[in-house]
Amino acid sequence: MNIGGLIKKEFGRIKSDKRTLILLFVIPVILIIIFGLTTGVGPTKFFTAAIITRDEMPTYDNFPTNSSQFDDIFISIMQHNTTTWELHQFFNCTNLEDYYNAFDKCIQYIKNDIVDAFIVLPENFSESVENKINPVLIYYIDGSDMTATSSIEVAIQEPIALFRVQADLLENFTIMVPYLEFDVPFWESQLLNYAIPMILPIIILGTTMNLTSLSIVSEGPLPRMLITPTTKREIILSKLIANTAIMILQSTEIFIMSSFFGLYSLGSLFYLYLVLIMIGFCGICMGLFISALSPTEQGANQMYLIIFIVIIMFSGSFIPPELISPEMQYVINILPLSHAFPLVTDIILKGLGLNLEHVLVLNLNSVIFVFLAYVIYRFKKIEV
Amino acid sequence: MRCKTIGSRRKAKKLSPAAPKIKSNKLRGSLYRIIRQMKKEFQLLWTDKFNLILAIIIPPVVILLFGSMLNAIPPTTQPVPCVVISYDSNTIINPNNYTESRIDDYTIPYVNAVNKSELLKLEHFYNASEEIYAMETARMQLISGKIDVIISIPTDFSEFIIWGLPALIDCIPDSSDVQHIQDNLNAVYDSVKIFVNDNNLTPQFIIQGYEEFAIPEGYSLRFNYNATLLLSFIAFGVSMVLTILVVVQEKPVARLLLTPVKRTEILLSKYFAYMLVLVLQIVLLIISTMVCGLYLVGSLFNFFLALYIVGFSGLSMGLFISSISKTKTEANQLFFAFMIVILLLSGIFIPIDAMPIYLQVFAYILPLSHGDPMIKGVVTKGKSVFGFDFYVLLGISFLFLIISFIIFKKRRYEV
Repeated sequence: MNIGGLIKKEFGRIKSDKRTLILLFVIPVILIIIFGLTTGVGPTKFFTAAIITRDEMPTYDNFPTNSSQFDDIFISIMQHNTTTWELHQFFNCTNLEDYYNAFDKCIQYIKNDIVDAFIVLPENFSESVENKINPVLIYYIDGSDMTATSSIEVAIQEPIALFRVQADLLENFTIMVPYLEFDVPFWESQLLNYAIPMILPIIILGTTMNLTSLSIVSEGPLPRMLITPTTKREIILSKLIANTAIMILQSTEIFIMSSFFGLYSLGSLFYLYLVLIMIGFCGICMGLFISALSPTEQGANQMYLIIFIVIIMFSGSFIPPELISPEMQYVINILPLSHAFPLVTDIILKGLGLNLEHVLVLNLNSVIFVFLAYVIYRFKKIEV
Repeated sequence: MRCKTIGSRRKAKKLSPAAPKIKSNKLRGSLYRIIRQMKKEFQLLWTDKFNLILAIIIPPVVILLFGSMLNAIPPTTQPVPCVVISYDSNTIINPNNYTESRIDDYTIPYVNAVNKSELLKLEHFYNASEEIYAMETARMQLISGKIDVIISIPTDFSEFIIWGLPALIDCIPDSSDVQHIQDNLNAVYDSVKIFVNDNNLTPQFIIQGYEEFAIPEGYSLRFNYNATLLLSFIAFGVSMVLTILVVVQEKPVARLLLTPVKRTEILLSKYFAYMLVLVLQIVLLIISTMVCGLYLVGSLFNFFLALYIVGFSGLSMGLFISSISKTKTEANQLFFAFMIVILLLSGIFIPIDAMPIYLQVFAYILPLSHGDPMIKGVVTKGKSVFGFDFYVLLGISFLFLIISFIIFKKRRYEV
């Protein structure tokens, strides 16, 4: 049988299972629709907090008069003026018992994830502001939340800056003002477009790996075909070509659907499409490798899931590659998503062209996996 | 004669005190058949050793690999490469008295603060009064990834400090890398803090921070932070993928139906068999995470139960997929669809609170949206497993279990 006939047979096999065929094209659409629906909504408040003010409690240090006017200003700013904070509750404590009760309550709030942090304004808060002596702010934060702990000190600068303006504490005030470069413009869907460099490669790689991971292992008549003049090389090649054709259709569908939901790209859309096809092709090759290696369908499914998890977890998004040992960096650098994410990011957010190094490694992955699939299948013992 | 016998039997059934005994015999028979079926399930699993190794051995290996990578990361972060561009020596006009000013007294102290900061690595300093294309050059460095942040000192920086006005330092981080924006801002903020302290620019707010439920020294914060996420993902995925083909691929089901074995018994035996496999999987996952140095505040029992319920929801979903699928490829496609929707809406990629309300409702029905917070609560805060998340997961699992039974019962098999 010539290769054309084999490809035709492959298409026939896919076509015969109508429900699967529908799923092949419906699943990516559903995924993009789900993500497209997140358009226009985004987190405006990063921290939910509580405030305990002890400002009304008497202070006897260097302050002869007791003042408590500035804590209300700070609380009001936290309540109404900041963009990054949401005030859940505040406690005005006039004695130590009140304070301990409020403190316990706030700890429970942190434990139950109701607030991320709580701020304590000390007894001498207003006095310090009034006398222009460095005021102290004490915060307690959920230490198990790595993101929150790493960002609170910068985030707290916003209410402090607004407070300094209102309390006329502008003297010697130095503050950092961030201007984000290569960000998604505010009029675009920021949430969706920041997530897209990760989501699109994951969807395409997952879909295409899934498409082919059972293609060899579950095909019953394959062993019988080997009695005919058809060679194993032709079988693998026909599967590769047929599934690539389907993958191109799937990638096109994902690309068009993403555009419908406001895909933002600073760079060339053609390059983006090309990268998606390359990621998809890599997924096809990996799927064929899994299918050739696995003795059973369940084994193939297990292997698919494990490889998929490994590829995501070691893509460089969860572990910064620059921080780990060179040997481990090598492991991360050979995985496809480690190259797919930067490629898509460079095109979408930086407007760059194709990075040759990433393109080469991504395609090298494909070649290696398809070669391995062929070698394994060639030496696999099959009962006819 | 025959009629008489049947009649007497009916009478006996009505009157016989042995009726409960017959019932218990039936139950015993059913139990016996379920146990035999379970034995058959285990034998089936045993014949596919490759699958068994993947299901039981590989997930802990992945955790060990992940843990060893994260534990090897030093707690100190690498300095952020940056350039500083100063426009401070350019001329400004004082709007009050229209006099020209070119004060730049605070430029060098700020550059010194950048050099002093351990979080920043100064690659180059440009004086924009002399190098007019400094910003373009720096931008090219930013785009090529040589630096991560540009710090720009504006024209009025020193003047404003001297005049008692707020002095601003512009910070331009590379925002295409969302995960590192905060690190870049933290690093620049560190230099501002050093600058303010070194130059005694008072009054400043002194911020004192205390961490509750923090990971103690000697444990990797990064591993502990990511482990709960990975665990819920693996426990759910591995149990789901193990069961998606168990009904759809089993050819002898039709023949089994000719024997006294009931459909409910077939499905129940599958449930029980895979629940036992899940126990082994979870135990191994726990051992591997503990070996990697997980700081567990809660009890081991709560931790086990939290992981088990996540795995059990995956198992129920897997059997549900297997019951509704007509072919193995279809089951495989459905598995992917379920898995990817659950994964993408779990809050890892887009925070659930940031989604529109209808998507939030949908996301909160999905198991992984509850898995990670529940495991995190037990591991980092010592919370009891029996909270809202646990009961939602239990509800989801039983819902899928019931639907699977109904579908499997109504399914037509050609014998």
